Amino acid sequence: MLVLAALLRLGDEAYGVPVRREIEDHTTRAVSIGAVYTTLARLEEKSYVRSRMGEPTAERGGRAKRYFKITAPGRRALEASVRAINTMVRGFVPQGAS
Amino acid sequence: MTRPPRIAVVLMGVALPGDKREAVLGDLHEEFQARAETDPITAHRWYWGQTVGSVFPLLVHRVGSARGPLVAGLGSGALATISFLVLAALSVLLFSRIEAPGEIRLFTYLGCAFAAGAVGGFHCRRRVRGGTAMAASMPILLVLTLFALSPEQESAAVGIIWILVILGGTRAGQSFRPIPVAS
Repeated sequence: MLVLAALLRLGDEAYGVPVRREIEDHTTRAVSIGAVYTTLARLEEKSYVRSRMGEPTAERGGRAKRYFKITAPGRRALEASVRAINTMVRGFVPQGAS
Repeated sequence: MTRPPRIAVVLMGVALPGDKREAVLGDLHEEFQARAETDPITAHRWYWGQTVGSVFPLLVHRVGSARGPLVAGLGSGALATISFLVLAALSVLLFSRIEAPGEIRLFTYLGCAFAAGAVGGFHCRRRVRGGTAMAASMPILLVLTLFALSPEQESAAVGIIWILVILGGTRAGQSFRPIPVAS
């Protein structure tokens, strides 16, 4: 869900580095690049995301980027998850909230 | 330019599947270089931290991906075989009660094999590609065909038809729209 949300926020510039950074910035929890790619691979198997290879660049040691994009079924799945969570936590007040 | 720790790069290279290797190692290299500009030691620690945190989930996913198609393929083969045995047994029961010419019997067994292949193919289409399922099904089909061979010509014919037609049925089964597998 976090990975799908990150892809949605990043749009056409979504590849491993910004996806990982986006999740870390918004959740304040460390995420390994392996965990991100494992999740992306599973999402791609379910057709929730699709990927394409970019051009190799010198700053990446001559290696290409793999760009990811959320698909329509992926977007629907994310929306369904968000709706479910909103329903589940309705009326819930986190501790420390005024 | 600072280089990423060599052993960590090799470890990641081993853990990563071929189609992900370039992208992941590129991502690590890019972020490592950005961090190394300010503090190379911290950048090295970060790279090692990423390697340790990544190798296990990557290996688990890789092993899981390799095992999944084989298990699903064998399952499809077994399902096709059971379906055929049930249909063939019903046909034999039917022909023991009613007289039917040889051609009718032959076409009935042919239809049974095709339907069984379609059932197996439909099952495997939900999980794996057709080629994997066929490869996994072949040993089961061959072994059971050996059992099917008997001095009687009919049994031998059923076995041969079974192998040939079940492959066609499997292809037909795969042409059905796949059902998404729930996570």
